[in-house]
Amino acid sequence: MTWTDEELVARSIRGDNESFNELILRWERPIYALAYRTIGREEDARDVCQETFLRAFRALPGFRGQAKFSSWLYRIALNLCRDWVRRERRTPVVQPPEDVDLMDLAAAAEPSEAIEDLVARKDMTRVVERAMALLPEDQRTAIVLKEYHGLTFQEIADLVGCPLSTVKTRLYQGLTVLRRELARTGSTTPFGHR
Amino acid sequence: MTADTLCGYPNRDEALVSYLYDELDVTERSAFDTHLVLCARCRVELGDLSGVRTQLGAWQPDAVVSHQPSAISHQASAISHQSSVILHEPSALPESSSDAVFLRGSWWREVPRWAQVAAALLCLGVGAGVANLNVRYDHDGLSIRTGWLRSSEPGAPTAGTQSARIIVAPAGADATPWRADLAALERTLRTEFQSATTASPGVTLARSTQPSLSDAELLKRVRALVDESERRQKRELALRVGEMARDVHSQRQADLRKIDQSLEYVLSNTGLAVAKQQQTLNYLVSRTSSQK
Repeated sequence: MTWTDEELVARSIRGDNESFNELILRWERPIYALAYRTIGREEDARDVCQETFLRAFRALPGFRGQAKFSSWLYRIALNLCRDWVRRERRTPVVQPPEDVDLMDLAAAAEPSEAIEDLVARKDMTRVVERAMALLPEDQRTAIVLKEYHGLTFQEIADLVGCPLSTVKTRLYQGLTVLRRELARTGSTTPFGHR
Repeated sequence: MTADTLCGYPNRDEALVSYLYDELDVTERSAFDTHLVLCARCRVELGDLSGVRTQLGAWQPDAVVSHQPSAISHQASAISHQSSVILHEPSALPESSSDAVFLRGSWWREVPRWAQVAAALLCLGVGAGVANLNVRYDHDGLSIRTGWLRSSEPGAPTAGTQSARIIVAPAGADATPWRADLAALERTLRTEFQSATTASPGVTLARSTQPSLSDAELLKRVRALVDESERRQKRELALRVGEMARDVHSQRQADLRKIDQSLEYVLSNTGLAVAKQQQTLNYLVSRTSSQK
């Protein structure tokens, strides 16, 4: 039987730690992806992810279900990412070491994927990462939440605590910067079919 | 100057983004559709932003792709355990609660089996020692004896008796004052051990939770060491693979250069051959026409 988030939360509050483990298993990957795409560092994203669940566990007795559990979790993660950015006082840069590329490529490669496609995909990932790193934090957050987590404008507005129109503006501005940047680097079509 | 000022559509940027993400109601969508027919600028921009979205979809960082559930569950257990330790002070931990079971069980499950066996043997040894500790100082020196057979005669080891003897110095007639002190020490130790074994369950829990904290610390350190080792191995492997890739790349470049040179050589030779043939042909044509 699959429990809903809310049911698992209720059970966790009653002291069932396995239920909380289930919540972690369910939400760890999205939270990690959010942290990684926001701050751009693997190790730090892992720390943020772990800290998110630790804080959630601590605060769980105070969770009254006024928001969805996932939204609540996202908010904690975003706050931690924001703290991280402030602490680091620098624009996140996603630059995996050169030497790691091929190994990671090989690990991520589908057996049927041609090496040319693989390299093209990797190139595209790198180009997008660099373009995303140029965005201001609020625009990047809006795009990450919208593109990779499928949140609605209203959900993003609730999460980051700003008006709906601001979310739309941030998205528009962010996408416009990306459009310009991607055009500048010549990445006009995906997967390197240039 | 923003696009809003270039196009008369009200709140044009917001409308464009809403249209792009399909978050307009039917009326608004219909209105924007009509606008798109008339406004080339919006049409182009919408197409471009759709392209950006497609490219964003290709951003699948390896760090995210390779984040496996196995690692997740491992961390989940660690997080929950860490939280439990933080949330529940040992003194406030009820033995029968699920948290107590979780606290005791989760870290123990993470300990390697060999370590569990070693710990069990150690506990067994200590328990055996505590069960019957015999400290003696006589003409043979200082003897610390541990064993189950309490009634056995000192100095006459029996089967099943485990003893550890430390000879400090030969005892003489002047050893008598020490004997009294040692006897007192022996009594004290016996009293403490007996009181420890007959303590109430609450007291036992309080003691047993104390080491579990240090165990948690130890496990944390071991895990950090293992993680560090894995990272180091991964780095080394990455370096090797990178070197290999560079070698392959440079070899490939060299091969390509050779192929280019060969092609140029073939082309130039071909050109020469064609020129010679042309020359021969011209010569033959001129000879033929002169013979006529």
